Amino acid sequence: MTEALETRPANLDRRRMDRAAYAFDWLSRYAAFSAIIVCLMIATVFAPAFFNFGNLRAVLIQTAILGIVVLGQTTVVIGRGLDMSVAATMTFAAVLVSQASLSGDYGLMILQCLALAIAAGVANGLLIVWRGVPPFVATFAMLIVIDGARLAYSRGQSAGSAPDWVIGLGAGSVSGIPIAIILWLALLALFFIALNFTSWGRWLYAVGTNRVAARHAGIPVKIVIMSTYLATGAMATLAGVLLSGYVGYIDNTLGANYNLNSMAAVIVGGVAFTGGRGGVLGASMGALLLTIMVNLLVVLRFELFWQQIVQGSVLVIAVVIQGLRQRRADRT
Amino acid sequence: MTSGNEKNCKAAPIDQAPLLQLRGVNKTFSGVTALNHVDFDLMPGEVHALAGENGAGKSTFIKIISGAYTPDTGEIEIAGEHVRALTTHRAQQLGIAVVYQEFNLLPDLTIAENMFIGQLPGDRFGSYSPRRAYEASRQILAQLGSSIDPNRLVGELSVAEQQMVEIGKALAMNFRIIIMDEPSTVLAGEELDQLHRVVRRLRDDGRSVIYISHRLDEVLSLADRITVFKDGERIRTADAEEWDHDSLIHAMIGRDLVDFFPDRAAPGEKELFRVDGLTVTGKIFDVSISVSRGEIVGIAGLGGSGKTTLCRALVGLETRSDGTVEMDGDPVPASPRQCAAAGLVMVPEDRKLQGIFAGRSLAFNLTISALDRLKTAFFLSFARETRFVGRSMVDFDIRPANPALDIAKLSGGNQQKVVLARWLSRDPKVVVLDEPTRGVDVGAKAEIYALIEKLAESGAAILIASSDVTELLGVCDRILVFHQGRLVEDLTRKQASEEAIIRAATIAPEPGRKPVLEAAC
Amino acid sequence: MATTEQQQPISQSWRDADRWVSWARRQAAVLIIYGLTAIVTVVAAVYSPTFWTFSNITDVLRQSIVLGLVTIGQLFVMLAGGIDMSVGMIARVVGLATAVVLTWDILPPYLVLTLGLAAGAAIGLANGALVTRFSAQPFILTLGMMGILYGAALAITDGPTGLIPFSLLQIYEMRLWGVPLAVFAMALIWMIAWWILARTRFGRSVYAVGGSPTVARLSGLNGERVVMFSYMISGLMAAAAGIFLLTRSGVGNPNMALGLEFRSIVAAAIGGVSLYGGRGSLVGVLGAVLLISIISNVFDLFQISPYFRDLALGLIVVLAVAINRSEKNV
Repeated sequence: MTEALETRPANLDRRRMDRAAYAFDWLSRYAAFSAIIVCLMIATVFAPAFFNFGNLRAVLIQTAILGIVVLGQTTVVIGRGLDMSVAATMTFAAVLVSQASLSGDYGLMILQCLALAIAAGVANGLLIVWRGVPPFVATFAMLIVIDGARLAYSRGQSAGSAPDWVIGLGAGSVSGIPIAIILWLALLALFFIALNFTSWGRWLYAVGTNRVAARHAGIPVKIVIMSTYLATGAMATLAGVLLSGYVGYIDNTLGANYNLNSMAAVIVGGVAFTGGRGGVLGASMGALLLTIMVNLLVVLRFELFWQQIVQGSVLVIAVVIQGLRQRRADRT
Repeated sequence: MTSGNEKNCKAAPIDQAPLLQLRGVNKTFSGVTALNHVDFDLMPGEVHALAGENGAGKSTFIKIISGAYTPDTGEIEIAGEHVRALTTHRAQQLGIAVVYQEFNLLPDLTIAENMFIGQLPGDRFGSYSPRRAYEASRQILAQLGSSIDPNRLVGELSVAEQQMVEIGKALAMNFRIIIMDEPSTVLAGEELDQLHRVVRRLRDDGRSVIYISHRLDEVLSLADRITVFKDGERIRTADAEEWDHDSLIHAMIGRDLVDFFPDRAAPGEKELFRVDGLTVTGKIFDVSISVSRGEIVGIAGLGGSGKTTLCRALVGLETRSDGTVEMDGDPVPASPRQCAAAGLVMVPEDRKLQGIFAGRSLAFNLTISALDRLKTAFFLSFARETRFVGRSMVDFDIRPANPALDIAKLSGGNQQKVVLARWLSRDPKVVVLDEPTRGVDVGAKAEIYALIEKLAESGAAILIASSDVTELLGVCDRILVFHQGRLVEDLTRKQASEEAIIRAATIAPEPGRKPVLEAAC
Repeated sequence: MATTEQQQPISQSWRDADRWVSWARRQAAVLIIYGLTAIVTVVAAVYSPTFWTFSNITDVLRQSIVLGLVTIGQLFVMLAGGIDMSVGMIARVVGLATAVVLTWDILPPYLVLTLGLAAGAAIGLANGALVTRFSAQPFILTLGMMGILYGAALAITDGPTGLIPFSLLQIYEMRLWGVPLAVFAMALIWMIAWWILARTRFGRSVYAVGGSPTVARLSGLNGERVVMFSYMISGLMAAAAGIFLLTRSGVGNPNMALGLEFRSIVAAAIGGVSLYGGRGSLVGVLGAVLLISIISNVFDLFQISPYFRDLALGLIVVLAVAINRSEKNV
């Protein structure tokens, strides 16, 4: 049987195609993981300083903050959307923190943060499910609105510092483990369970795979999509608070990179931009990869602009791999 | 001609060589034979009709001629030229055009631009000249006996006008072979006569037309020759004069189909499902239906008759603008989700688009509408899921019985069984099935009929919308016939016949045509 | 169209009244945008004495050039069914690189400008090639490209740089009958763009490919080439905008062209361009560009705090996209 297969060119062709398809499949699934290994090998040879305790701790806290944003972004992308407003939400949350450190009214701050998370999520969700606006346009418009609202709220006076307890959240530790990492891992577990062991998770994958069929199958499509944008709103707000605590001071560009980075982490982590494929574990790998790469550039004393170029390239390469994978899948 | 084919193919006129010739063409899809050793030839200047039931292989056949599918084996010759790899592009170069049921037109461009988009006429500066496109398309439309303004946007045209543009597009590219896939299903009255005039005019110009239609009268009066397909085989080709109604139906259906369907016990009398004056603006009008417990009711009608709209409106996928839908005396909610919870489910017509989640596992597809049953407290239980999936796969005989397999890798019949199982495992009270056996192989068809039967016996009320008339005749207790959005005939099993159904479906009850909306001025 | 009047009567069901109704329906977005522009203009003229003056109006027109250039490019891409997020960064990179090379003073200035335009077109072509050859999702791909170009801009400079020759500054300042020459040039560019879209095979193919790639392919059009060209035009126009910005400020500013990608998408969307491709007109986009320029001029005249401008712009956009209900809604 195998002999017959090998002598026929048509089958050979097919096998070659299968192999290529397999390679793309593998790449889109494990790209982040294998790239992390490569980065660690580079670090071992060229930058032993990377493995300093302090540096590793910083890498993990930064991963945790990006990772929390990525959790929300992952659910949105699984539902075949994307959220460009996370950076604006993060910055706004940080500004709320800095305002509260002046007034000392932390109860109000928590309420404001809740309101921000819900408002961002509901506005994005309504534009998308109710008015049928394409997700990138809706969330992009919300980015401008949230940024504008932040400037209007703070009159541009956003430079400030975070109160001690927020710094404790962002940079402090409980029995040696940074709080940010504990929070991240707890939320990761929560999202993992929600995506894999609840009806909501199944519904979300169904909506991302085939929205029309999902509607026919009696899935509350609009509510599911809405929930994903609420998730990104909440995660971005939390990440904004943690980031302001970790950095310790707040300015207008805090969080600016997180749109690009969260998208890149999600896509390189094997979550398909066409929806319905991938999960939070892969995306978290993506977050770890991006943080390690940026950190390596710092440790290796590359100039600042290389960070941007590397982050952009990761996104371009990841989306090209996924495009090729999709093309192969469509062909068969 | 040296071709070794002397089976019941009618001898071609000696003075002419066939324009298109197919020999021994085979095509299978994942093990299901769609075309089995088909021979075919098309003469210059003839109208050659293809007849056959849905799934007989007609659409596969035209997709092979137009280059969309590559045959597994067999030869294609066009104008004496042996064509090896026929692609859509190559087929176009060779002068083959297809006018599909869903038109390939760009709604935001004008008629003229649509006709010439591949080869827009230029002016002396080499830029595109709307005026010349206008003139040229005007001429073509005049050739077709149409006086539509070529500067109109295609998106504003009626279906009949769009069809005219689609045919005009084929003429603009100067195609020799024009394939029309059920062009008449959406037309009636004057529009239909107009189409027939156009087809005859094309033939008189020396072009060849392959014409696919379910309307037997039309086929007999319009075609020069008729080929009948059944189960992927060519049954017979002969001059139109040699055919009549009975011989066509006989060839299309064959004799063995009667025992294909299970026997029916008489349904109960108790009304379970009631539709009163249901209207969906612009699509269906004032439809009233009553279905008893255990009854199977068929919905027949041509494309565009409102069958699908009715099915969708019943579960709230289309907005019901007027009328009521009641089940057990209670009004039915207006979203698919609430309907399913209440026990009313709909199996959609387009399996790939509306039914399955391609790329996800069989188990995922089976359980997606029954997740509430898999829950222990808050989380899904894998033990329950495994049990549920295992039982469904046995009950519905889904093959291969591998829960982790991507559903896209299953045959059409097994995919359909998964979609059915998804819904039926909820023990629904009313089941609406839209084209339940479209693209399903013969073996799976029989199994699906048996399933429907069993469901009715258990006391469910069932509505089946289908364009396969023999299927309806075989399975249903009653058949409702729709025409242009209205319920025009209610036939019992005894009254129903293929002819009665087709007559009701094609001819408007009142011959008066829909009034044309005039501007109020 | 003028020719139809000379023809014999066309179809009874298609009379002059219908033609007007159909025209109005087709042009609804355009009519609304010009109506709005007119209202804003009148209101501004009534409440501000300086708005309706010759120098202010010519200033508004000159201010609209940068957005106009980029939006024309964006229009081509969006009509062909894509989106270009990298236009702002293309403008910045080309602007900064041109400024630096001009400072070296080794090449004739106009050759440097031509090279800058070519570089923009090349980046656009790269976008187009990646989108078509690898089926990459346009939004995410050009977003990645935006990141890379941002890095490249940082690599060139992180402070104001470059010394622009006086002859180039004249591009911005030169006037004819009191009107800046650049405004005439821009008018010409609008006309050329209109001609390309309405009167060339390529232009009509852009609509066809964006409207339905399948139909376009079945009609024998080379869709990939059309899409690639549209991204190239977008890159070229963005580069032109970057260079024009340079002639305005006189130095390469590392913050130049901030948010241009967003404003160009907004202008196209407000101008009635479908976000799914295949529908939209240059005339509508021109109206949208004028409207946005007038509004920002009005903000200046009324000295509205910059902190509220973004919010206002964002809310306008949200309203616009929410009202423009897309028909491809599921």
